[in-house]
Amino acid sequence: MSCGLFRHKQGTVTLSCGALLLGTLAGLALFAPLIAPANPIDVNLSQRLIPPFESSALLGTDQLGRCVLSRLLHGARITFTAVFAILSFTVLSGTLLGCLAGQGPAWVDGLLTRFTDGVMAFPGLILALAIAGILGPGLSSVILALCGVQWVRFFRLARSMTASLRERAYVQAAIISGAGTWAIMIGHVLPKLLPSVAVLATLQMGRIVLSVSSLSFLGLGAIPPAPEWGAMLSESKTYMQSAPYLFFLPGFCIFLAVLGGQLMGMGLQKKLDLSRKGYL
Amino acid sequence: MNACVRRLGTAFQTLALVLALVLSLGLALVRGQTAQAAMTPVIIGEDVDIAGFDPALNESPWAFRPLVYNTLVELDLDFKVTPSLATHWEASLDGRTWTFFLRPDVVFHDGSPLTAEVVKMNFERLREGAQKSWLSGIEEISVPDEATVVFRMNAPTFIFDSHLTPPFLSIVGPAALDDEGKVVAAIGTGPFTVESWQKGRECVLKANPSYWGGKPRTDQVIFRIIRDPDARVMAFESGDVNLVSLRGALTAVQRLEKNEAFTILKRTGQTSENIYLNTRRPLLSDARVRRALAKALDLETMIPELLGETAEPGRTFFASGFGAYVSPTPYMPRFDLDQAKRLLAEAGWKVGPRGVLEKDGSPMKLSLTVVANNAENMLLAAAIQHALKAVGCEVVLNPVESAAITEQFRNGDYDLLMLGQWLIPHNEPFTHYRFGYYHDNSTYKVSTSPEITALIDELESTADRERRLELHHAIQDGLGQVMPAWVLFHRNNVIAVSRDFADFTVSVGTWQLYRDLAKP
Amino acid sequence: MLRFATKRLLGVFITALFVTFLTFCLLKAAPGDPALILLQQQESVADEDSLAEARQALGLDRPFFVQYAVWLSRIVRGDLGGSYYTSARVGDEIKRAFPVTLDLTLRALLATLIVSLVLGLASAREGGLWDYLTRAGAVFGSAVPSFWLGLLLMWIFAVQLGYFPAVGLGRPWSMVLPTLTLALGPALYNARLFAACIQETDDEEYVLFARSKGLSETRILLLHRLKPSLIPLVASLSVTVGMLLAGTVLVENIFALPGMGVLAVEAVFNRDFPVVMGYVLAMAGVFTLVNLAADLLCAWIDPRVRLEAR
Repeated sequence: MSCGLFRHKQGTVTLSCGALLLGTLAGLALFAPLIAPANPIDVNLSQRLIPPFESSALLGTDQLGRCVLSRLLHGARITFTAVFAILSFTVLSGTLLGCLAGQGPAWVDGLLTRFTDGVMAFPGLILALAIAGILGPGLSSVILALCGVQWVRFFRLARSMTASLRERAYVQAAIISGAGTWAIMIGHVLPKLLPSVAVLATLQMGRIVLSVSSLSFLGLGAIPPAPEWGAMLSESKTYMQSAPYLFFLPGFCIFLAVLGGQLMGMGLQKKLDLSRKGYL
Repeated sequence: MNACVRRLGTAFQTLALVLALVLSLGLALVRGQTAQAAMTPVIIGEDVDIAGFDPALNESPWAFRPLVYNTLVELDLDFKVTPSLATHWEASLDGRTWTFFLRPDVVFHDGSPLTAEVVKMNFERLREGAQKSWLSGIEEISVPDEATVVFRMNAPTFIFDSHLTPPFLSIVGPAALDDEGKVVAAIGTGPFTVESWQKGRECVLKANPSYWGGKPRTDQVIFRIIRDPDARVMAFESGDVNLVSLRGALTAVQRLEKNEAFTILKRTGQTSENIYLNTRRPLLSDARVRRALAKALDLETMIPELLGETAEPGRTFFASGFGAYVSPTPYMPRFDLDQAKRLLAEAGWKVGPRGVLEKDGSPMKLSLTVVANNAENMLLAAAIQHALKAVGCEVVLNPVESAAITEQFRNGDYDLLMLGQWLIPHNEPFTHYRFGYYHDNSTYKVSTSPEITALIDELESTADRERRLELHHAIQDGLGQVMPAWVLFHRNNVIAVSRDFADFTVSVGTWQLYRDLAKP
Repeated sequence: MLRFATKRLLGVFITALFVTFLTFCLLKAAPGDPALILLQQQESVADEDSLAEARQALGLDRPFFVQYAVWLSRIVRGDLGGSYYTSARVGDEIKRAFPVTLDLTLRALLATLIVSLVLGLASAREGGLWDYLTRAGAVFGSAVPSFWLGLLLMWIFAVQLGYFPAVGLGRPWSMVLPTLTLALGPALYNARLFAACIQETDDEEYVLFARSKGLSETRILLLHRLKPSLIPLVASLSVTVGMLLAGTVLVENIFALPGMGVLAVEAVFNRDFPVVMGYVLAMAGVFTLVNLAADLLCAWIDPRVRLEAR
């Protein structure tokens, strides 16, 4: 156990790396309209497919002569908006429903658990793909679809933790002394849940970036000319041979964003020493 | 425990053995490929697979059908009507009776003879089924003798021979049909027989030694289905296929032209890519608005810049492949942004907040339906979206797939809709107005008016060629006033062939694309 | 064992019921009136009367749960309905596309297992070079978007170097790049998992005992430490297969492989929802079966799992 301290320190490093990466990207996203050198959807047919560093457009121009740098910056905006929307919904609904299932009547628990089992029976993005398909292409459909699928993870975490906390003496004592379900939930269960939920949420951040851009890559997400990273990537496939930077750059941005989330989640996990509890 | 080590050791040995085996097998396969390359079949990279063996299926691509089947009459490379299964034919003066005389001694792939009865059976099947509207002019088919087929028409028809040229009117052998009258086998009279078909992957054709036009010099033709245009070109560059259409491949022509190993063949086609405007929608009901917005499109710059060699910017109503039938008066107005703005202001549209035009409180916001999985269309749509923004028209893209887009087109469920013009090979564009878009009884009814319908009806009952030309031009000019569609570009047929096929003159022109493969 | 299996089977049955119900609800929520589409397919006129007639013929006028029951009974018989736009049956379309997806998944699974075993064994010593590489690899593998990786591999190995065919099926080596793309993430993830398990055995008593006997480290690794560490790998098999199955939709679309993923995406854009739902159901079915198999395998290898389930 000599490495316990070491692990703790390593967690700090990982956490800061991830936070720095995500923070930078989020900052760029927030100030994109101020930083971006050009309008991301302004077409300029006389300036098509200029490679990076060869003109005033620092990262070159795309197949319609639009500034790639500006598109990437505004793309970050789209990605972070989607992540924020999905994360806030799934954390809230998943945790609350999970607490409810862990504490409430058995039939509620049974029904909700069966339902989430049903959702989890679809591998990865496939259910989200179908839901987004039914809602029709568009960023909002992707957000809705991912909300509909991703809350399950928070539900499972909250449910299992609530159920095990219930057995603890002090919760039992609170129940015996006549505290109401809500009081127990807010007073005793939620505070204990928070660290794990926070870790899962940071880990989910990267996964959500990946899911949004995957669905956009398949054409279901942001509709052109919106500069969504995944959509940019799929548009640039045609120009792979003549302008490889067009597919390289948005993919690299996605990679960085996911990496940031992943590192942050891992660091937090280590710092809070939750890794061995097996809930995540 | 030692036994365990030994077992593990054996496992590793087995693994190594398997690896070696796989490696050598792979090498052998690669070798096998190169060895085969000496007696190359013609491998064609196609985007769409045949939907079945029935030549009448509209979902099937054109290229396959003329290689396996024949029609009574066909078009040559200059779009002239030439004999095929019928050696000659005649029409009565009133245009109500057409008599076709069949080529003697033609046999189907299964050896059964081509008779007038078989032809009659084919046409009865077609006009009951998939080609009901195309053949609606036929009243009765009769067979006076073994080698003569007579069509009685319900109205005077003067280009019925041209109407019989599309490959969906191909003749199949009686044995191709099952009990329900469905075509279940590929039994035609064409230069190739179907050897095998793996749906969605490839279709292998073999030369038909008893073809009435002589045994083709190509022993084997393979259609390999690769949906994505870029993927198709990559497969071509890597030698996977040796003949490929460059349709939709946006960057390929320039690159392939530089390569000594490939030949690029280019010909003007017969089809155009249009944006259809829904004249029934309030925002687009005013012809001045439709014309003004067209003036905002700088096609002369946009098309060569974005699509290069594969397209000519849209000027006239039809592609130059239709020759004299194309009206010399330009259909698309010249690009003029100021005039476009002025026209819109005259029509009552004022610049509102965020620069979007407004009239009676409603903003000029249109949706543009476009095929999602088509890089060419998506690119063009984004450019047009930007061009229309300059005059204050906001366009939202609505990407859908090809089957859904025709459905929406038919139901009039769109504002703007980008789609290739109906491509039914024909020597004159008559069918576009009558069956396609602009007649009261057309399939899609993009825009109809009593005047245009009257002109089309007159065209249908006119035999004199000079008068027909006049009418064609009048219809196109009349449509120019209405502006029911914007002609974005005329598609060139561009084909890349590997140099091994240097002695091949692959004909480039609509559906006869690969006809020369059949030459003896 | 039998008791465990029965219990798991019952669980699968209930889950399957929920899965089909969810799918049915989605199908009902999807746009497009099946009655209208049927009429259009038959090229008949769609007026009120004929629509009502078509609805009746399709059973659309019956109560929701009756419709579900009828639909479910057809699914059980393997009838997934007809496509809205082509004359094809959904079942036939899936039967045609499934082998491609299965082939890709199995290849990737094999690659994943080999890579994770080799990398895991190599990084058995905590703090060694391989350990760090495996850790870094796991982070990389979980963060790299597979569609970007696929295009990168295609650009490097097919476009620039020309070693492999870029797209499509039917040539030798044509599955190399898709397999690599699909397997990389799960392989690195599993390698780290396996390495961590092996490392955990480092201070186990039986390992210390073996060391005290003077056995070489390699021998201890292969003889004593390998087997107990394999159990978690088997347990994570279902997660892996889930990742692989979900990954096929992207990989097939990048490399233009005519599998289920391509079929489904095309159907989504055609608003052809019977095909989409057929795909979703088939994938869920395969995934559920794999989960079941992995659980049974685990219980068979490791009696503790059986006991825990009681």
